[in-house]
This record gives sequence, C-alpha cells and structure tokens, in this order.
Amino acid sequence: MTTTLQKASIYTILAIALILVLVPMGVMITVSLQTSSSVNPLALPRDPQWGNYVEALRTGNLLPYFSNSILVLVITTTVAIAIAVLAAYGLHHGRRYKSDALSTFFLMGMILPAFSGTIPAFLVLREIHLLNTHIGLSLIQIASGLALPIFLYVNFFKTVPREIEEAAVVDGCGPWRTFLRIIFPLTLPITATTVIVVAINSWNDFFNPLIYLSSPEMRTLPVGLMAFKSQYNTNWPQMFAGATLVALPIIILYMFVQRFIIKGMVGGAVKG
Amino acid sequence: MKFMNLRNYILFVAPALLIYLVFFAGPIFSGLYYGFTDWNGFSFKAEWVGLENFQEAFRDPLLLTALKNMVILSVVVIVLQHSFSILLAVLLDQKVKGIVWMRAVIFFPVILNTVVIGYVWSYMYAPMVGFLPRLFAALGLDGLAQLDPLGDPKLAIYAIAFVMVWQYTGYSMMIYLAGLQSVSGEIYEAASIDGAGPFNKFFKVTLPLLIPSIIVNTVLSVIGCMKMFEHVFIMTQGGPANSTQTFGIMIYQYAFKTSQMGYGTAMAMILSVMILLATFIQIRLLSRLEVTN
Repeated sequence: MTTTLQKASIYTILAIALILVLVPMGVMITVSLQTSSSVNPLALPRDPQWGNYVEALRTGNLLPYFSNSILVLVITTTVAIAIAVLAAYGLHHGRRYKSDALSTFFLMGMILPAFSGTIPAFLVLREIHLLNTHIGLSLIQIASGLALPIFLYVNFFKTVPREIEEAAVVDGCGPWRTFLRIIFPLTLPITATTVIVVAINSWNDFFNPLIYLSSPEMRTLPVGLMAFKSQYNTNWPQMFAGATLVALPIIILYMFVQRFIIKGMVGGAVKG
Repeated sequence: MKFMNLRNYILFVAPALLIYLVFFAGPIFSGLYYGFTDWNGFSFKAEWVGLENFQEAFRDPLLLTALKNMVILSVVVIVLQHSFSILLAVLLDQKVKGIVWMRAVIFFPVILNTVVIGYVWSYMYAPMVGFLPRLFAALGLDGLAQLDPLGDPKLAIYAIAFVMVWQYTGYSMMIYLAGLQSVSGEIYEAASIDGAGPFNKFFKVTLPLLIPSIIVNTVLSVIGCMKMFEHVFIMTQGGPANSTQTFGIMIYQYAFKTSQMGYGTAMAMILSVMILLATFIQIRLLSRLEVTN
C-alpha cells in the first residue's frame, strides 16, 4: 500500500523532473517574445513581440530552408520505406539464400556512425554529380538510416501467420501480387510508425546537410538555423523565434502521435 | 514460402542493397583502404603509406583529448542519466495520475532538433545575460553566477555532458520502463509478503531484474558518447582551446578543414573499431546472462 507520504514524495520528484525538462523550452519561448534590448529570461514578456517571428523568417531566410527540408524529407521517407519494406519481405522469406547474414549486414548500419564513411561517400557523390543536391542528400540519409525500418519490418513479418500467404498462393498469386495485395495492407500500422521515425530523423538531420550541401540556397532548416547564429549572434529574441519555428512542427506532431513516435524511436533498442 | 525463388529474392532485396552499398557500407569499407594512404580527397588517387596515419594518430594530442572526453562524457552520462532514468522509470511504472503525459513530456527533448537544443543551452549557460547566471545571481549565489561553463576549458565538456543528460534521460527511461513491464507483479507481492520495504524491493528485486536493460542501455549511451558530434559542433566547435574535442569533431576538421582525408579516415576507422568492440562486449554480456539464468 502506498502511504500519503510516499505519494507526496513521488509527485515531488516527478514535478522536479518535469520542471527541469520544461524550463529551457519555456525560456526559449519567453525570450523569443521580448525585445533584444530588454531580454530577461526570469520574467514573462509584458508586451509580446510577435514581430520577432516575422523578422526571423525574413532575415534568417527560413521559408526557403523550410521547403528544402520538406522536399528532402519527402524523398527520403518515400524511398526509404519502399525499399525497406521490399527488402524486409525478401529477407523474411529468403532464409535458404542465407538472408540472415544479409540482415546482419544491414543492421550494421544501426551501430556504425555515419561519419565512418563520410569522406569516401563525399567523393562518391562528387563523382556522380550529386554533391550539393537534395537527391544526393536524400540518398545518404536513406542509406545511413535504412537499418531501423528494415529491422522493424522484419520483426513485423515474423508475426504474420503463414496461412494468409499460403491462401494467396493457392489462389494463384505470385510473390509480387501477394506482397502488394495481401501483405502491404497488413503493414500499415507499423508503416505509420516507421514513416514518422524516418521523417523525424530526416527533419532533424544536421550532420549530413552540413557536409553534403555547400551552397546557402540549398540548406535545410537545421543548417540554415545554425547559420543564423553566426550572423546575428547577439540577437537572442530573433534567434529563439527562429528556433521555436523550427521546433514547432515537431511539437505539434508530437502532441498527436507521441505514442507512435516513442514506440518507433525506442523499438529498435528494446528488441535488439 | 515456395514462390520466393532466387530471382524474386534478388529483386526484392536489390534496391535496398544497392543504395546501402553505394552510399553507406561501400564508403565505410573503402575507408579501410584509404586509412592507409596519404589521400587528399581531390581524386580517388592516393599513395599507400602503410601504418603511418595510425602511428601519427596515436601521437596526436587531439586524439588523447578526444579519448579523455569520451571517458568523461560516458561516465557523467552513465552515472547521472541512468540513475535519474531508473528512478523516473520506477516512479512512472506505478499507477500515478497523468503518467502517460508525464512520460511523454520527459521523452520530448529526444526528438527536438539538436540545433534548437544547442541554441537554448548556449543561452542557459551564457555568462552575465544567460538564464543560469541570472538565476544564480537572483538567488544570491554569486560564485555560481560568475561561472562561464561553455567558455571555461575545465568546465566545457561537463556542461555539454549535462545537456546530453537533459536530452536523453527520457530515452533511457523508456527502455527501463519496457524492462520493468516484463517483471511480473507476483514477484513484488511475494517480496511484500516476506516483509520487504520499498528500498529492499528496489535493490533486491527490481535492480537485479533490470540488469539486461541496464546493459543494453549503458552500451547505447557509451556508443552515443563515442559518436558525439552535433552538440559539441553547435555549442563549442571543439573549443575553448580544443578542450571539447571529440572523434566526430576531429574527423570533420581533418577531412573538411585541412584536407587530410587519409588521416581523417584512419581516425574514423579507429572509432569504428572501438564502437564494434563495445557492441561485441554488449552481446557477450547479454548472452552470458542468458546462460546463467
């Protein structure tokens, strides 16, 4: 039985934890609404300066960066999901072709850091003239993030009853029809999780765009935001308005589908 | 399934394998070769120099700093993040009102953009104008208010480690929660009947049963610390006075600032070998546990 004292101490600890997490976020939003001459993180803004957000969008050139980020996210997510689900289905049914070894080979991608191969990958992109392009960046993101979706799909296929596929084969379906008509619709719940995780990783990616995109007009949002700092490094309200705008889509998405996000982000670690 | 003949198998796997080979695995394997050359990155041509890069690397003072920082980050993260996250996981495993959203809030920083986090914490730490100095000054703690955590070579790496703990406690907590949920309630009931109090229950029942989660979780954290790049790049760029150098920063600087691509690749290989070693140790520890259970 939990006593009142125990309950009180539980809530106290949890309250401290929540405050520690939320204070930096609160500071960011508070300062983003103050004037640069009177920044005070300890006081709420008396006269909210929404103009900081307009200024941040304009001087930080954030709108073009925003559309670059969206473009990269769409290419990366679509291609990564498509090739991962196909590969996982092949790996699942290809045991007699030593698919286990191939699975392990793919899973290496979860362990090794992207920058082990960055320098040669840079040269590869340069040779095929995809350096400083969004497609080139997407290809790198897809390749270095492929392990997680493959892993999630392979685990899912293990739970699909054989009878479903056997029935399809009896009805005269080949592997492609079986996959498209019967199996892919079944994956939709896990596909939702996978899409969200791949999309968030692409949206938050800082390292790859930093390396593979050189011209300012190609930048994605995180790198664009980083450039903002060096340009206006004393104007905290404007920087934080920019930072809040970058964080906003993720915050909104998180409010609606946090369950999927947490499951997808932690799933690889828990089962692995 | 009968229909998965070799031709279909290849067709299913080929697109993923091709992209993975060309843009991820291939570059890593070719790094094995380039690490032994004087490659400058302007062409695929490179002169074989044997072990020279590796000999130089182990004499490089930056590598020593990077190793030291790797140890500091790992120790701080393991001690702080894991004690916090185990505590929070145990508390949030009970029937407390509002646990779902409390878990969600604590997890939130994990998915926040590193640049945003870097900005916010640069400001939290900023001397004179920042949040922490002002807070300490307002509380009359002048000694603490004078500190410049990111600008002081002795403190900077700890300041960064604290940001990592802030960001990833929620991640470890979720893994521990998953571990706790596999522990059956009957064990706790049995412990209660035997007269165990909450502390005894935690140290004699919960903690031993969490050992597999602790192994997975700490190895993940250590690998995260080994791969450390973004937080440092955004907050200190490896400074002040190279005090926050990490392997990631070093590889980036050698490759893209001084064009020592061969040397940078050798560094990347040293790091990859250490990460594979850590993963191997994790697998061994876990399988040994399964044997003894």
